[in-house]
Amino acid sequence: MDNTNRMNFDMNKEKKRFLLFLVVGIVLLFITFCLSLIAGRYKMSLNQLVNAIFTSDASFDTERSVIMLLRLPRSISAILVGAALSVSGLIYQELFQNKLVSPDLLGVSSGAGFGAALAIILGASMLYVGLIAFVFGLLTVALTLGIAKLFSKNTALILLLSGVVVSGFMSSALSMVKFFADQETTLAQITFWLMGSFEYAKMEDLKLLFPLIFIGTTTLVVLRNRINVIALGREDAKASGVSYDVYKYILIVISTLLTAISISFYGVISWIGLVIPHIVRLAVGRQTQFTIPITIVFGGIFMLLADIICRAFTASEIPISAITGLIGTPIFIAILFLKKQVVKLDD
Amino acid sequence: MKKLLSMFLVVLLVSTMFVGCSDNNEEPKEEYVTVQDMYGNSIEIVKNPQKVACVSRTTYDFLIAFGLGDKIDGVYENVLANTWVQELNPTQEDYFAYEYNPSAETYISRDVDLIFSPEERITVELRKLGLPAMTVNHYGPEEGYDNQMFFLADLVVQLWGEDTEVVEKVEYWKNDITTTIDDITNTLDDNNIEEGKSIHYVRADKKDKGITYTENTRPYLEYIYRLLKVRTIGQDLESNKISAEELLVINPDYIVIGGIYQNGAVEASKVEPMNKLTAVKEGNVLTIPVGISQFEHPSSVASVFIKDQANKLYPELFDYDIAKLTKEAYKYYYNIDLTDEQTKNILEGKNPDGQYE
Repeated sequence: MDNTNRMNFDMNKEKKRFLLFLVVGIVLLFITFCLSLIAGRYKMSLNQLVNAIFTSDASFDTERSVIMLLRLPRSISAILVGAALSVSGLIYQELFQNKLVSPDLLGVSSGAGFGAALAIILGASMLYVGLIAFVFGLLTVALTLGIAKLFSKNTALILLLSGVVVSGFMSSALSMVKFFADQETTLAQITFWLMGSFEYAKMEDLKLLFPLIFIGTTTLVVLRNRINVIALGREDAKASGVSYDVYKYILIVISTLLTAISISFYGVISWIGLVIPHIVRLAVGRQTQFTIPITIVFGGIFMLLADIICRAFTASEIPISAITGLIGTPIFIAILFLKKQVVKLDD
Repeated sequence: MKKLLSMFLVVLLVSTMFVGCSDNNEEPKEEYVTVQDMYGNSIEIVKNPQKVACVSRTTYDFLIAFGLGDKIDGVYENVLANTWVQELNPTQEDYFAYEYNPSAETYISRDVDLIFSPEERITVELRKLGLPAMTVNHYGPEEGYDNQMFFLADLVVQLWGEDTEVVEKVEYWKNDITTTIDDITNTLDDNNIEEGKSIHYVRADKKDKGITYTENTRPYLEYIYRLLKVRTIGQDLESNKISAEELLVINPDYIVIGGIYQNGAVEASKVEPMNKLTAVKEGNVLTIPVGISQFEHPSSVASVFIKDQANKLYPELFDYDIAKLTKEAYKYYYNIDLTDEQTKNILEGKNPDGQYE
């Protein structure tokens, strides 16, 4: 078999695997979504669930309220946020050619956290807390990009370092805000916000969240072939006739917006943006035309599962980052172990 | 010989120093008293303390009510921020505003004799530094508040017992509480009321928190409601947050809303799915008055609070005139003549302008 045939054969194999994972992923996502509507502290049977959703029988009013007002909005939000954070993580990892990068690399989480904490101690309502978090998240990323621009060699490494420095600064600013917060009331509120939760998700949130995340992720799906080229680095991108810098900034802007919008609604959610891209690469390889759609689906599943755990087993809801971290860490270690095995086998 | 002379001089010098120290004009020694805190720890406190830091939110009101307002050095800033404290200002003093957990240097620089600290972990650290701190709060030790009802009142007598007016006020307060508890429990027993109904306390001291923020330990409130034969659901929770679904599962018979943002919580209870709760459907959403102190905390108006809740929980059994009792308590403890409008606002949990926070 010559090289061209071999490449075509490999590509077809990867494509088949991609389609398999995509179909399985979508089915799993659907099952998890149904499970998230059934699972919770308020026990209900499948019969009650069906009656509550498909009939207007008044005896199922409470069940209907629980599903329509509590579980449905948070489940849709979890899918959207899971998809957004996971795909942002993947884009950052490919862009910076660094597999340890997560979507808050350029300081969006620390900036949003500072903004939210500031809004909370100023007594703002939750709507403004989200809005201020979003603005500060974007301003922090702009500051990171601005600092990186100051250097003549505006490499990915400089951008990474700039992100670390600015994130550190915003974390200190956040500590200062926490210091001034009322220890009896607002400090706990800030702490909870920084751990993320879908507890207060509402259908109204989706009016803004859905179109923004849909547009962002769809754009990335459309650009998936170009991202593949960008991921090879500046020289390869140029050789392929792709404007590396233009795409780099487009991708940074989209990923940052996806992250910022997610954080501003539901607080800081860690690990998912780091772990899901690794799982996906393990499943379907490195080609972004395959990894991007699968990451979106897997991100949604992971976040839905985490949210079910958060609310189904305890009387008080567990913050989402606590669960994503607890699940994410062993998964990440397992991935490292598996990758090591793969490398050994290749040797 | 030289050595002997040197030794003699040294002895003479040291003796002179000691003679200088045993001056006849020495200051009178401060008298100390050993007291026990809420957690059973023995602490030595100077008798008749003159500068008290009331950082625990349940102490300022008591000291003023017992006529010890001039002994207060400073008060927790959130207590001073209460609009009723600003409006009525019982002592007309401009107290220092303490943060929740001030540094040890703050206390040292203010030269306080006694610190009423809000949490045991803070108290322990202050005591390690030799500061006279003791915990006074509305939680008490793990076994509950049952034996803590008169803790602060008894402590006041131990520390300022030489002042007969103080003792008289303390005794009046204790008798009032005892009589109230006896009256209510006897009436409930006579009517064969048994504990069975549940109550969910909403801690509305945060904005936009709905009705899912509560107390999860066994605080003062749990003790009071147990006397009133209702069970607080918070005592079975892992944290002071309860999920909306869990609240629907427990479906309490009563919801009682305290704190300064009561209105927001009352409104939140009317919104789906919370309006499906039995307590909401049957109109059993109660509120707690807010005056110089929040009535759900241990305070000078504790007996009024117990009677107010008895009226609301058992309207068929109790009919205390809460407005009259509130006016009388404010007159006796603070020498304040409340107007009808002020009384109404206090009882409805509003601020002095008649608005909800």
